[in-house]
Amino acid sequence: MRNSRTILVVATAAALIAISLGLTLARDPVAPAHSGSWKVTLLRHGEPVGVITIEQGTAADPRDLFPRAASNNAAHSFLVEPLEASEGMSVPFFSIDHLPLADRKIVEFLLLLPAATLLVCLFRNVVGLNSFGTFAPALLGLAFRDVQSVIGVLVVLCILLAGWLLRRALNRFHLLQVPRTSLMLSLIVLMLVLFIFSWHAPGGHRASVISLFPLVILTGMIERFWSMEEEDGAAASFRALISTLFISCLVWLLCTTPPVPGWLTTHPESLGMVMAGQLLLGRYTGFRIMELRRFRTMLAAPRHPIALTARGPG
Amino acid sequence: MRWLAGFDLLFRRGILGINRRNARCILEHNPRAVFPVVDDKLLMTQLCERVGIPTPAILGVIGRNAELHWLERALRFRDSLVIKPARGSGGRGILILAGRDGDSYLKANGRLIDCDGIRQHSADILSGMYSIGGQPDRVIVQERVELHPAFNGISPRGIPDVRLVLYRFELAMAMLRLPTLESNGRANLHQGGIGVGIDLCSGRTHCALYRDGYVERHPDTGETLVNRMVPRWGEIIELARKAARAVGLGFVGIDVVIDEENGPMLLEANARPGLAIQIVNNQGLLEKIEEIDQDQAARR
Repeated sequence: MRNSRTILVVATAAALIAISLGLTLARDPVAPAHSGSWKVTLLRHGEPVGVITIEQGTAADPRDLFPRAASNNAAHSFLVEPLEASEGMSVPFFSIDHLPLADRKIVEFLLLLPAATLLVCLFRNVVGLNSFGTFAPALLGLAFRDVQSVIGVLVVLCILLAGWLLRRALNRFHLLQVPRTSLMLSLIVLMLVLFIFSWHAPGGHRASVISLFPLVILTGMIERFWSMEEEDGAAASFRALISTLFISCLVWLLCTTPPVPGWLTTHPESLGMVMAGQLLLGRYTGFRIMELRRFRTMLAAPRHPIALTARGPG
Repeated sequence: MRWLAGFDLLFRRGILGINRRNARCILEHNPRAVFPVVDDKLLMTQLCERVGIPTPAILGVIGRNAELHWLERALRFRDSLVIKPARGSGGRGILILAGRDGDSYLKANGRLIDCDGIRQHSADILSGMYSIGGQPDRVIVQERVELHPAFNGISPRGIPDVRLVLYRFELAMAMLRLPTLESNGRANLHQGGIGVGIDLCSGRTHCALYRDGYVERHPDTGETLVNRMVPRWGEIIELARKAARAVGLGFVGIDVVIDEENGPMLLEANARPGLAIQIVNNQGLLEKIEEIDQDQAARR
């Protein structure tokens, strides 16, 4: 029973890996040379600010001259595309190169999300870190990627701590759950809007540090943070907060390491690999690294002299 | 790679990890449909009544704020009782009134609480402050169990309970949970209670865990904790088996209190029993589980 289930999972995972590998290998290894002219768009923070064209006959491939940035929201990046579709150049179906800019961002975000959750699975079930929710660290990490600065992390931290204080203050009102969480959301929106207005105060021109943070997730995190503090003490809740932010930062690191989003967007079939990883982790029944700490008292003590093998009477 | 050696050590001690507990014990043996019954103490009590398992008597249930005035009338005739949420977990929200001092009541931690305080606490329970998932809840007013003389001197300001873990309806491990002054009369380990391992065959205690270390004596009273007999051990095991079969959970934690007069009574059942009982007993659950699996395979 049990073994057949594991075999089924492993077989499904292997099939997924085989399919995604097969799709990768079946792809044209090298795109045929484009002989026409190229259009290079200069982007600042994802917005087009200028266009140059490269005439026919340059020796080097312009795509090597203007490498793609790690994130679509990078300070400066380039968008290189053929000026006109040339004959004989096939555009693969699964390619983001012919998508409009906005959709390109969405596809990149969508493809990174499962990879981010895989990382969260790894940290929760193999390492044993306790985070607030499954998707909070993944979504937070991807939000950090968009702001691309430590300020984003600090803003999240400030919102969480301020929200937690507000939640404590709200507690004496004895509000029902749904209106209470809605009110918390309003308060967080208020804080964010105030922050954005003061950040872009008239006179100064600063780069944006706020993306559309997963507000709902943030609200949920505050609620969990507060209830954990009530139930298990401040130490436990702060430990969970720190591990949530730690995992979020690792997700952020993963998603800004250029080969990762690069590979995922050019090879969307790799999603199969990610799914295989998730399936396999779903059947991981080994220990968690944090359990070494949990059972340390027992490991340090000698085995008990009384052999406790017999079960109760009867 | 040091943790790989550590994993091997955990495995050789037969320790059941949380991943294996979830996949092999809970997912495989605990039907999801049963969870609401064990999560709600009222439903569990009704089930116990049907199958004839003794539980501490419920004096009343309060479901609405408008019914809170009933409490005052109930309190007039009682010196000690327990007020708890129907859907609480981990011992939270349980208010133990141990005695009376004029118009006020003595809490388990020795502090006084007046009628208004009790009302406020009950209103908090109703609003769902202590319930699983924060849903609105009901207040259970329950009779307080009388301390069994066997626990005199090792159970300051509270009633100990016995936690039994059953796998496929067979007893796998057991511990006695003792309150300390620090744990405010509650016996939960992470709130500062003491866990005392019980030898399943004899019902004799064999080692005790307090905080992060093994102890021989109660930290508050200095009384010895090991080599004590748990009273009415055979009855406790029978009750736990009966309860596990009645709820239909193949991996379950059963909490039993021992009343001086009425003997063992079921306090609650837990569909996701914690793993700290292994540290308390200095023994892994995995070997027990495999032993029971082999037994049941052989019986078929």
